[in-house]
Amino acid sequence: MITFAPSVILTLNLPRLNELMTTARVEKIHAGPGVLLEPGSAVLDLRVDLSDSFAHDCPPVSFYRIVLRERAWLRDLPNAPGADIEVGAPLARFSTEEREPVQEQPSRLARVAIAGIVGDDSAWHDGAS
Amino acid sequence: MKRTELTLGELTVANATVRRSQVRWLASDGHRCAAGEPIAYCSIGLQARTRVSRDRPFADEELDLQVALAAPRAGTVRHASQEAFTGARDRFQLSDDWAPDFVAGYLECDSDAPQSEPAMLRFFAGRRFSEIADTRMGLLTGWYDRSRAWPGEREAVGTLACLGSCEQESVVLGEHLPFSELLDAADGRAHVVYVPDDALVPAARITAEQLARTPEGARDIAADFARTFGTGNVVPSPREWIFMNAMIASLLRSPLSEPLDLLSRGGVRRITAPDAVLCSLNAEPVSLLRHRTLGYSLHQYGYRIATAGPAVLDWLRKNFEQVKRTPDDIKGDYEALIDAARARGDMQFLVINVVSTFGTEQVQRYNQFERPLGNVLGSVRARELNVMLHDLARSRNVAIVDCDAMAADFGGRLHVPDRMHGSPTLQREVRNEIVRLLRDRRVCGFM
Repeated sequence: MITFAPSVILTLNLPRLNELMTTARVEKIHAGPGVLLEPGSAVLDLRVDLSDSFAHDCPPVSFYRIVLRERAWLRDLPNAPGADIEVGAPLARFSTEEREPVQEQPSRLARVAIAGIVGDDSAWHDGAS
Repeated sequence: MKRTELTLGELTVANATVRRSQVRWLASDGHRCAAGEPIAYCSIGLQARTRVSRDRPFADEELDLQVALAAPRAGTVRHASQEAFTGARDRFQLSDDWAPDFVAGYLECDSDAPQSEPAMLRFFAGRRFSEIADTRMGLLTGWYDRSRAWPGEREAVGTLACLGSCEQESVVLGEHLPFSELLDAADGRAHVVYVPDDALVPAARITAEQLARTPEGARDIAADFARTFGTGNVVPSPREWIFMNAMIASLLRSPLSEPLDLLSRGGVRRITAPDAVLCSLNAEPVSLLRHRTLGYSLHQYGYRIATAGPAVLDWLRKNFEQVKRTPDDIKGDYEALIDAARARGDMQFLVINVVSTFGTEQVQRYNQFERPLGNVLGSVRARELNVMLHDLARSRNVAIVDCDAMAADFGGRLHVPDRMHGSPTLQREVRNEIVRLLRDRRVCGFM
């Protein structure tokens, strides 16, 4: 008897990257909805500011990249670059089949790797000629 | 119970009259103080008896030259007057003569104390970013591009110059009075200089270029800045002028070759080079700015550039290119700096390494990231820099202040959650380690 692996809906919520953080800002999006991501694909970069974005001398800012560890279709990215997200809020939704309806409850969290990355807070490249 | 008069004691300077502000108390009346504890302070001024020379002592610090009066023995502090000296006139450094037998206050002591005893002196000096940046609210409370402290009872014999990133500030300046913890941990003859990273971050290449810069080179940079900033597409705001002027002013100085005056009971002495230098690997960016035509280097933190204003960003983009720095490049910068500095005299170098532990990082496969990994992953960059520092320690006999290991011992999540700004516990350990390394290396003032 032939059996088929059931399609699965996966979600990515903002993990607590630092015990003191309350939010993170979406810094960069690496992939768009409708794209098949292979294991190792970067999904997005996040900026965590432990001063909660209040004016601060030498703000304690860190940058992180979230990388998918399994093959999945990226279906939804509800936040644009610059959006501030609370811990636990949805960052992305995936499915294992291209056309699987994603309105259903997700089966589980997507498997991801989290890496602290070298960030650039200077806006050097924004509109640079 | 014996009541001892606390006097100022002798303080003489050739060809100058020493004057002072009113004494302002750091300790409240009735405070039980320890021997050596600073309990009061005043600002001082050296009034030339002859023609004022451009080369006079403390010429660029004379507006913020201060002295703390420390208790010569343990006792209970009693103020000489109940009047609080907080008026504007009281704060000016020329309001009174420095009279050796002036009684600033009293110490009530248990022991057989003398009737009168001079306070122990500790001097402070700050060089303002601008003469109008005065804040006479306390000890070294202004905006300085360099601040320092040294003891006044014996001639200071060893100078530690601290140039680094912001993690040094609380380590060097301490938690209480400026420099107090570091000076207390030394042997009573140490002179500590702190150069902040407010306007310019002292990456090794920048410090080496400052050391090598000729007066003509400095004039070219100043003239180019004056010609190009403000003539671009974006009109700078007054705040942007202040930001850039502070940055260029800092760039055109050389913290390792500027002469420094030291005042003690016996007079003024001038030194021309520090005995030891404390640097931070955190001051080394992935990319350094290099001027497109003049070739000089510049570095400031991204968050400061991002908030400095559009004219600053516009000027930097037009006039500078970003140059990637590998750990090997940075090692070369350090070697050039150390060689140039040691050509001027025997100088020990201590470098604080970077915290490499990223508590929540979960990387299973490194082939998921672009090469070179050190340009992308913060933890890899940190480890590469720390390994480079070991190579530098071998090639140039540099002492490593292993903040990475200390943070791991204490727990990075609690003691340095952003891998930069430490807890008081971590800062104290880093400070103690700096003093231990200076002592091991037989640096005068720290033995």
